[in-house]
Amino acid sequence: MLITAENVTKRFTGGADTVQALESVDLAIEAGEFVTIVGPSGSGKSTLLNLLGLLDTPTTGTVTLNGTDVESYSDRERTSVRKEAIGFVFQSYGLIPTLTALENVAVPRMLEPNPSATEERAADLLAAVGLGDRLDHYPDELSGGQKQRVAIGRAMVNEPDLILADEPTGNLDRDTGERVLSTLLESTDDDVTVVAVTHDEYVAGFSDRVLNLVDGRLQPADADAMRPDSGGSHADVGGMAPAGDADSVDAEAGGEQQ
Amino acid sequence: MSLLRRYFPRTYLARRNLLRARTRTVLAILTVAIGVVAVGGLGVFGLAFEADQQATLGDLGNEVRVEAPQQFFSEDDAPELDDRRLEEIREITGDTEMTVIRESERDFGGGGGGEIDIPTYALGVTNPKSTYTVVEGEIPDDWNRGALIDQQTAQFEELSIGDPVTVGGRLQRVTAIIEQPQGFSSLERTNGAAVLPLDLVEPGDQPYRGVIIYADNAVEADEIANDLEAELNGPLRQDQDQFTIESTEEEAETVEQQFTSTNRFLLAVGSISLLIAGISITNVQLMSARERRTEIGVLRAVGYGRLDILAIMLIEALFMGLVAAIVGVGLTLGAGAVINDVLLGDPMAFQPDTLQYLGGAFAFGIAICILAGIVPAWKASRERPADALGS
Repeated sequence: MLITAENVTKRFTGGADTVQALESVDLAIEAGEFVTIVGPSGSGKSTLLNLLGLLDTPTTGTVTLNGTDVESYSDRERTSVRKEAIGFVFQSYGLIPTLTALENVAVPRMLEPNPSATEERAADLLAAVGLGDRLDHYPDELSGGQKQRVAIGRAMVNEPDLILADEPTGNLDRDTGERVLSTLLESTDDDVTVVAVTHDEYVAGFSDRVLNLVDGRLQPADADAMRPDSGGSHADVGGMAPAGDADSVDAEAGGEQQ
Repeated sequence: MSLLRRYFPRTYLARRNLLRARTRTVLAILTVAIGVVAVGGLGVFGLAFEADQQATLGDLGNEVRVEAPQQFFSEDDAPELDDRRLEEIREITGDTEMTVIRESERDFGGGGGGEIDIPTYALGVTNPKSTYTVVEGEIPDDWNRGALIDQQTAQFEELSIGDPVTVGGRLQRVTAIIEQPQGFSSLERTNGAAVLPLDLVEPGDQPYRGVIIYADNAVEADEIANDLEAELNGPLRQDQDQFTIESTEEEAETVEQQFTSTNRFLLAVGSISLLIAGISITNVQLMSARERRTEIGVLRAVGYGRLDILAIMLIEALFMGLVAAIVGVGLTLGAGAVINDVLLGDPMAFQPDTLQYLGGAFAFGIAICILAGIVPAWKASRERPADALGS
């Protein structure tokens, strides 16, 4: 197993209130799988993704990556493991506006030696996601779909074992979303594991496996629960989607020219 | 790929961040640059002011004055500054330049009818060129006749060069008109006297009124003063009037201390403005970190450590400090040239310590920026990535 969660509970305490974001979650994902976790807003999807991405630790229970309990890592080690083994794709892309598409893809390796090799790989990745002619474009010169593909390139630059995608199609129209999902799906051919959390049910169509998350509990796949309007009782806590990038949905039915 | 990105990627990222909010960055840099100008400029101003004042005061610290007790106010056995003592003084001073001054009897009633004739008395001097500043006419090298009259007397008596004056019953012609000496001692003050060659003046109460010794420097002046004190006043009884031996080193030191205090005060004022500039840097960096919170969260998520974030933000502060310090020092040099021109009449008359002040202001400007950047950088680097991403 690449990553597992065993009896994982996550609680957030704010003042007198305690919010139970996840409750007794058990999960095991194999290398090369495309798993979609579907759930309504506030169901704990982003919290689960944060735990799987080593951005947070569970209140109780155990998360293991490649057999190692992630709680045994120090902060520095977690940072290092994230860099080596995990790629992130965010709903609002999380691109650095002052860097070009190429630099954004290269960002995770920018502090490493041999920047030329990184740049070469970044250019290859951008070409692979159809942005070979957009290397020197800044994020504000790209459409939503193009930005998300740059973000996928960035997630893959370190040749990760695991890509975690938080609402990867959330800001995209259906066609562009499907293209982005296809790109993610292609990466599983190289034994990369993809875990996507979403409330868009069509994402499930690209997955090997769909898990439902309702009120912090994983449930067997259920059509009703997968509907975006099925509602959730929790407040949204610990999300992964960067809210700072105010890009709205780009209408890009055809080509993705800006 | 730029060299900066290849070899200094953190600096590259920091520079890009600063260029993002260009106006804000420029304003923050300007604030610090003004602080640097305040520190450097006030320092340079202090130095120019000091040079200006010292030029006015002259070689204050190098003079030693020996004055005989005024017998008019003294007991009967007041010591005399006579030839023997003058010889003793010469033995101590050696080749050092000096002016000997003799004062004649005062004659207040020569003209009759109750009017006072001016000059009322004569000051006999040797070496007048070192002691008096000529404003009109000339003192010949072999000056052995002719009178020097101060400006006020010349004006009052409507005297000009070549006019005859009667001094002590002798007729003299005005050779030169001199400035009334300013200073701490009244020894060479003219006060309505005519200045004549020493040999032409009959002594009054004392064979000699006093001596002014022009030492090469303040240390030598101090040594001479101590030796003279021992030689002239040492043998005198306790109840006898003493010779007044005055080295102006003390006054010079007092003036120097005042300049130092003034400079420190000016620097303190400048430093306050630089501290305020530092606060503006903290503010800018806090705002910047807040705006970039999600971005910083993304960087942390993709593998940037806390130290990387800390370094990037500190480099931003350092970069602002460096630019501000360079701009500030440039502006200070410009302001210094204006100050020098106004106070010293030469824009390039920078004083030797100028470099020290410029260096200090440069370093202080950078140090303030780094210090001001520490808290925002620390806060940004300590935030948990999950919290930053969830913002």
